[in-house]
This record gives sequence, structure tokens and C-alpha cells, in this order.
Amino acid sequence: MKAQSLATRVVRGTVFVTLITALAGAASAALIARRLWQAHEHRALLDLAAGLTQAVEREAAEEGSTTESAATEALRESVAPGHRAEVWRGQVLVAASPPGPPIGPPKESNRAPQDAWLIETRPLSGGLTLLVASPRERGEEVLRVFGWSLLLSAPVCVSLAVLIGRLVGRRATRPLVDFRDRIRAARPFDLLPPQERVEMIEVGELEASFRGLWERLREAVSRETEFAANASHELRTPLTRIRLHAERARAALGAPAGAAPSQELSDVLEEVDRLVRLVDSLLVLSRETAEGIPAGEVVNISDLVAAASRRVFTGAPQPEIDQPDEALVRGDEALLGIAIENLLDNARKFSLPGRPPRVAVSGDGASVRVIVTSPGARISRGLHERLFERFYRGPEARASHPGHGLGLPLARHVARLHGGDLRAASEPAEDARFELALPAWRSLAQ
Amino acid sequence: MTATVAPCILLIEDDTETRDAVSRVLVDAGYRVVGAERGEAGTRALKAGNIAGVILDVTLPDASGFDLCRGWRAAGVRVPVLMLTARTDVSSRVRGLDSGADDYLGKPFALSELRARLRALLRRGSDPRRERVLSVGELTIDFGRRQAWLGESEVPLTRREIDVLDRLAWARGHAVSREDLLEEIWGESTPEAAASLEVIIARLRRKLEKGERESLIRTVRGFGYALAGIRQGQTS
Repeated sequence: MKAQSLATRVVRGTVFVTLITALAGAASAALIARRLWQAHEHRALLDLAAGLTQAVEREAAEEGSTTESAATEALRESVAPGHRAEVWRGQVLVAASPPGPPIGPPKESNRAPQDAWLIETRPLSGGLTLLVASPRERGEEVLRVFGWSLLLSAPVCVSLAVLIGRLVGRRATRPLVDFRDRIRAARPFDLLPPQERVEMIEVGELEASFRGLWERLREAVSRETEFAANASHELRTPLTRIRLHAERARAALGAPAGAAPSQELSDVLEEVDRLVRLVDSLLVLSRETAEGIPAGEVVNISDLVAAASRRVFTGAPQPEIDQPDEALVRGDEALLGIAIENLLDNARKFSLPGRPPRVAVSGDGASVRVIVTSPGARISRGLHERLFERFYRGPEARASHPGHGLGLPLARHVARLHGGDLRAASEPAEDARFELALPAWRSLAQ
Repeated sequence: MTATVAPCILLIEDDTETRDAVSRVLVDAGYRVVGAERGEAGTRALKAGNIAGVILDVTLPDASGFDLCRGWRAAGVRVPVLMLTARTDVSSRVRGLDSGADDYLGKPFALSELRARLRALLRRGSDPRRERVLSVGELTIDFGRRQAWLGESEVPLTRREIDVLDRLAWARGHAVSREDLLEEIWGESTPEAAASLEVIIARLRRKLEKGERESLIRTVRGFGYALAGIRQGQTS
């Protein structure tokens, strides 16, 4: 089901209830009114019949005329408009008022159901039968008017319902909306502003449980960050010692550079530096991308690309670099340097021998892009995302290149810490291409 | 370093092995070294006087290096301080410099770099009362927050560019030699570093000398560079 707002649901509910109530009310009111009208008409007909009977008898007694002529006379004088009265002898119509086609003759049953008329019959002296009738049509008309007025009142009811629904909905969801706004302003995982008094118990409870969850997450994240920082520090202290020892030993040897023991100590130093970079990588990867780079400084990506390519391609053919003098972003120079170095190192490893990688840096004011292409290398389908999984190493990488499987994940993490991204952009048939995009530098001042 | 008495370095570092190794290296390089394991002992040694420079570890058992340094600066201690730390991210570095340290070096470090930084620091000296904001005409540079402004608009300057300006501002209008700039900011005097310095000077001129402003960075032929438009004493 499609998600919808609580306030809308309240309005819909109110309208629905109002419509149902209005329709049911109209239907039952119509039925009741019909019944009441019928009962009323019956009483009127009975009164009319009784009146006519008396009139006929009085006429007959006063004038001494026959019942037939007395009935004719009485009917002409006493039948109110809207009603009809007939006097029958058997199957013969004796008298009728007002003039018009006869309804009768009356059947055996006292209340014969005649379609268009509501009928009462009553015996008169001398074997005559009095029939009084009222047109059903009159009642139906009353009912129609009644029904139409109810139907026409429905839109009024519905608009009223929408209005009330809106008011109720807004009132009911106000605490929820306030809660949402308070949460929306929070960055993960800041301290939340203190809980305000909420007049709705459910919302208060919801907020309280949300805050509990938030607090636990906050603790977990800060414990993790602290652990990573501590671990990094703990690892650095012994690494510092190893580095100092190796450096002093190399100096003490005094052997010409390139001699075997001195070379081995230089290798130790290089390994220590590699280990330090690995520790740094793990520390960076343990940071939440939402934290961002709080104290970012101005970084020229073009400088980083030039410096990284000097380091990475020492003794190898230099890559073709196409870049402006300045491509500025805001961030952590050391981290961005690592990201770019990893990208270039990756390109160096996987380019075909004799075909140097290409690096293009460009900026359009909103973002800075670094596109690194490795001629001859291919990224097969399905590998585009796997390459960024931590510790994942492709078959070729495992076979022929040293590494930890952290270079690309780290580069992407650094990009995301800076509000950018890194992705593999090439089709399987194209030269492998990676695109690093970072938000361009802009003044923080408004 | 023409003094007949070797300058005395106070080394505050809680890891005994690191402290011993560093202090041997410093002694070999011709310094006298006073070692301290804790912040409290370090502060006492500093107050005893005659300390030319401090190498201060950030993580100590009894105090943080940031707090120690801030305390000394508040008490008017002007000895140059080089901070050593296992935390190398930007915010830690900024925090270190904000607390009054003069330089910042991440662990583990190359001994050659430590020696170079220390040498530069001792030569330059520390001046914590130095104005951290430089204003020349339209241009304002806040070295603490590493921001530069031309009138109302912020000028993006990279760390290296700020460092070069900072070093030139430190000299208060006197010329600074290329070698000093390379040694203190690049840590090495290689042809690549020299080329990089030239590029940075060119960029600084392009970014900061817009309009009819007269040249801000003056080239001293065959020697180095100087900030024009400020005379000695103007920044303090």
C-alpha cells in the first residue's frame, strides 16, 4: 500500500464516516417518513369515510330521499380536494367525486392494494359500499422532496467533515510532526536536545524509546571510534620504537648505502611505513561518513595528483596527466592524498606494460573530478561494486600484486567522508576507468 | 647554532624506549637533553629554566599535551614547542597549533625529519604573543584558522601556501632565504621542492595581488622572498 500521511488518513476517515452516516440516515429517514405518511393517510381516509357515512345517513334522513341520491349529494359537498370518494352497489358505480375515471369496484378485501391509490372501503346502508382513496403519488412526492433535500445536504456534510477532519488530523499529528522536526535537525550521533513535554502519551513514549535507541547507538559508535583511535595509538608506539631502532642501527652501521645490512634495515623502515599506512587506513575506515571532515582546509587536487604520481610511478613511465593548475576542494589533505595515491597505484598495477595510465582532473565550479584510466585493463561486469568491498582482491590482484584489498575501499570512504564518491565507470569492453568526484571548494561564509 | 653551550632540549615522552632513543639521537646531534616521563615533571624542568626547546608527547599519563602547552602559554612561557602525536588527522593538528605549539609531528617519524624540524624551530624561535592575524590593505590572513580574505571574499589558500605566507610574515618584512623556506616547510631542499616553492609563490601572487595592489611578495634576487608592505614590528 502506498504510504500516506496520518493527517490525510484522519480526513479520509472523517469523510467516510460522514458519508456513511449521511446515507444511512437518509435511507432510514425516508423509510420512516414513508411509514408515518401511510399511517397518517390511513387515519385521514378513515376520518373521511366516517364523515361521509354520517353525511349520507343524515342526508337520507333529512330529505327522505333514497340512499343513492343522498350519497351523490354528500359526496359532492364533503370530499376534500386531493381525495376521491366513490359509492358502489355491487359492480355499479352509484356516485363519485371528483369526476374522473373510477377506481373501484371495491374488492373483497378491505384494503385492496391498488397501485396508484391508497384505499379504504366501508359498507353503507342499503347494500352500498363507500370507497375513499388518496393518491399514493402525493406521498411519493413528499418522499422525493425529502430525499432530495437530504442528498443535497450531503456535500455540505462532506465539506464540514473535511474541515473537521483537517482540524482533528492536524491536532492529532502535531506532536508527531514536532517530534520529526526535532529529530530531523540532529546529525548522527549528536546529543539530542532535551525531550520536551508532549501532550500525547503515545508520542511521548515513541520519542522516549527512540531516544533510548539513539543513545545506545551513540555509545556504540563512540566506543568503536575510541577503540579504533586507541588501537591506532597503541600500534603506533611500538612502530615508533621499531622505526627508531632501525634508523639508529642503520646510522650505526655506517655502511655505504646499498650494502646488504643497510639495505635490509631500509627495507624494515619501508615495511614499518607500510604498516603505519595500514593502521591509518583502518582508523579512517572506522569513521562514519556522516561525520564528514569537521576542520577541512583548502586542498589543491592537482598538487596531490602530481605528488602522488611522482611517488607511485618512480622508475616507471609517468602517466599522462591532464589537469588545471588548481582544482580546489575543502578537506583533509593527508586523506585525499592517500585516496589519490591508491587510485594511481591501482592504475599502475593493472595497466598493460608499456601503456601508461591517463589521469584527467577537471572542475566545473560545483565539483572536482579525477578520472583515472588504465589502458588495456578491463573491469568485468559484476565487479564494479565488489572492487570496493573491504579486503576483496580480484583474481588477477591475488595472482600478481601485493596488497591488502583496502586501497579502493579506503579511497571511496575518503571520497564519501568529503561528501563525494568514487566509482568504477567503465563498460566491460572499455579500458578500466575510475571516477572520483568531490564537492568543489567554496567559501563557508554566507 | 653558534652558541658555545649546546642548547638544552626538554623531551616529555612517557614511552621509555622512545624517549631513550630520541634523546640519544639528539645528543648525537649536539644537543643536551632533559627527559621527563610525566607532564608535571616536565613543567618543573621547564620552570627550572635554560630550556631552548620542548618536544612534547600529546598522550601523557597525567595530562594531555594540549592542556600542558596551553597552560605554559597562559603562564607566559615562550619556549618553542614541537608536539609529537599518534593522532595525525587535521582536527588534532589544528588543536595542537591552537593550544600554542609551534610545530606538530606525527608518530612514527623519520629521525631526519625530527632533526630538521627541531633545528628550524630553534632557529626561528617561538613568539606566542605574535599576532595571528595579518592585515595588509584589503588582505587579511588568519593564520590560526588558516583563512585568508580579500575584502569580503574568502581566498582559498592551501596549507603550503599559508605556511609560506606564515613564514614570510614571521620575518616581519625581512627576506627569508629559499633554503630556509624549503627546509622548514618541505623538510628537504630538493629540486622538486624548489620548483614547488616557485609555483606556490606564483599562485599566491595571482590570488592575493588582484587589482591595482602593488606586489605583496617581493623577490630578493638570488636570495629569497619578503613580504612587502609590512615593516618590522607591524605584525606584533
